[in-house]
Amino acid sequence: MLIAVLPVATKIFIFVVPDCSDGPMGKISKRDFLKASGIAAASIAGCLGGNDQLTFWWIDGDSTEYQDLNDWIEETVEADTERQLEITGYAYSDLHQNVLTGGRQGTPDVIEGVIEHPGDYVAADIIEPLTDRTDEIPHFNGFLESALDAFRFQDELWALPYTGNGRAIVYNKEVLAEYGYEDGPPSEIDEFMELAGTINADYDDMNGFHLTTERGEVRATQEFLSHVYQHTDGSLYEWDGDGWALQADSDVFEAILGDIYYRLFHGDQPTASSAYQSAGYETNDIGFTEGEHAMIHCGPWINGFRDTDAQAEMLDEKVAVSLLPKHADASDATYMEVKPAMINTHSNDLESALSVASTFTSPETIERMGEINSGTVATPVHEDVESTLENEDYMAFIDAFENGVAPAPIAWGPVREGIYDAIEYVIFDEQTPAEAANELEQTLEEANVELNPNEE
Amino acid sequence: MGVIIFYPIVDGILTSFQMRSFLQPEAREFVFLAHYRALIQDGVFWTALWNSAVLTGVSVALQFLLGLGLALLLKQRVPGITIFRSITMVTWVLPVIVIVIVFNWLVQPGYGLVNLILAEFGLPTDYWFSNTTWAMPLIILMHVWKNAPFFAIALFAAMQSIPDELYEAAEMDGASAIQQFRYITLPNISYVAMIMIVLHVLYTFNNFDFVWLSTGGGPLRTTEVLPTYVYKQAFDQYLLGYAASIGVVMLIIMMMFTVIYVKLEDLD
Repeated sequence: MLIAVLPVATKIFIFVVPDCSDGPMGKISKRDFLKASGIAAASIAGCLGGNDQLTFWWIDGDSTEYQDLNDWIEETVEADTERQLEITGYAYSDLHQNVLTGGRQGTPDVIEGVIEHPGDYVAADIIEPLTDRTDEIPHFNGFLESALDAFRFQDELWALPYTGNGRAIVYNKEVLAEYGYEDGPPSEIDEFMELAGTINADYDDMNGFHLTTERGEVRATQEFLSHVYQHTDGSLYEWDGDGWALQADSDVFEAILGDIYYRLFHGDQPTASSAYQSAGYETNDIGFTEGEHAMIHCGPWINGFRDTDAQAEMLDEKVAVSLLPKHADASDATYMEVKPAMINTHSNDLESALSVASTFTSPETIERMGEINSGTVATPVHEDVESTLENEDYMAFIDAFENGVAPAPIAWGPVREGIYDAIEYVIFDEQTPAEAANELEQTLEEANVELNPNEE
Repeated sequence: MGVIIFYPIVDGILTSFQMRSFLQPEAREFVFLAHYRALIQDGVFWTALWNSAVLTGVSVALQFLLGLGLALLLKQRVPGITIFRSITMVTWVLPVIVIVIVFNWLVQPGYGLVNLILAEFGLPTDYWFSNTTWAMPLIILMHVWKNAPFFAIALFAAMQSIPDELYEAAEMDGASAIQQFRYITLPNISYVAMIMIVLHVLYTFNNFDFVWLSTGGGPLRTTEVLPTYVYKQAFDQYLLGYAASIGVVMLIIMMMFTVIYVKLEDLD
């Protein structure tokens, strides 16, 4: 910044000086000197932290797709606050890390993120509670309570939601119809996996059912948790007054690892080719739209993968959605994803920051987002926004969102590592589902999930 | 010098004796050797250390051997060799992310070129980065592909500095090509070779991006190396103190190679 502004200040100074020398006195007047000094001082002050710009980091801050929306948000905020807004884009991992390392300096003023981020930021004293500020948000009363609940903990509201979804099964209805499942895949896991295994055996170039299983892939843990939530009817950890208590045990983990993850690649009729072990979300989502899988775990964003005519045809004519299959004693719960906007408590202008967050989460902004990517508003988090879902075959996404369970505000790092280990041990047949489940239960029992910096 | 170099190092070493969270790095509590005791019992740490050693040892050895072979080729006075010398450097100047994307694309199930060729011959196909046997060799291959040309150019430059008279005298004495290589070329490039080897040992042992971008340390931690493990401990688990203790172990190992490097430089 300093490097960028100093030459400009110097140029202004140089521009002013000759102008002065040509004056009637033939030398720099006191007034011009003061003018030039003032410009230079203001420029340097700007570099040293007196910058009047508001900053907002969100994942699509730099995307060309969202350029018009970002321009509109900047204009709206500038009109409202008389301060310039700079929107910057980061991948979530970088955004999260940069906020934790540099957020205390006051930049960014407003932070977008994923549902697991607010807990970390609260523990790091980086975000501002919004409980006492909700009156200043004109559209606050329209937010869905379930979406707001995802960001309520420690007796405070920490973020405003702007989009949400629940995970469901996205399936190729033409393929399933061949097997007599015109109304969607079976809801019971065993029958579901049998059908997937049969499809996989019958088709040379199509997996019956596919999940993301790549280590480090956030989706892998989200999909695993979807099935855990069916058994816990709440999050994996619940606050019991003294600390976070694990809600699932090795029996639950064994059922999920054995009936789903092991059967993906092993057993009499695996549901997917072993070439897809450890595959990431692109292989899952894009692969489905290209006909590589008959059924996948996914959210409404699947509707956005329309790079080719074949993909568009698939999404418009061959795809339908159903709730996730489940065990007989389980509920229809699934992983609920709600994305938040948060205010940096170290911002030098909390009022303006709130204006940015308010603008970003407003019904008008959400509707504009939906025009760019309909998946964003398939299951809107605000009652003044209508769902973009028109295709009757996609309506199960709405039920999935209503059944969604928001993750607890805990330290997810050790939990994710434990889940990755368990998934990998099972899909590579290094451990039996029972062994992996026992190890996972032990890992999660012993994991320090408290977001307390003094506990290591 | 103190602020730029010693303060961060001393702070890193101090952190390894402290309980310190990434969420609130200003809060510190001394735990003395607790992290080092935990390291000894941490199976993933030993796996990562072993994988780092394998990755470094095998890839630097291959880089040197291939680089040496390539340097001997570049030394030949044949038509078009200058263009070949320029092309040789292409892989070295490619960004790591580009190399990972290219290799990732090559081994994709369904449409990756490697799998298409294998399928053509009726051989089994796979997503090779997710194969517990082949993931590490693939990462080694990427390292070698990128760095062998740099070895070649450095060794070639060293060979260019050997006076022609030495070879002419050897020829007059009836020395074979292999004898000339053994008794003239090798001794004269050994200094540059050793420097290159030591530098690339340091680079490869500390390398994070190839592994992180291609496998993230999986599958089944078969490609977990110390830098990726440090990253996970610091930024996923928020355990700055524990991550720092792994960093200190890396520092000690790397210091040994640095001492070798400095000694080699002093030899001249």
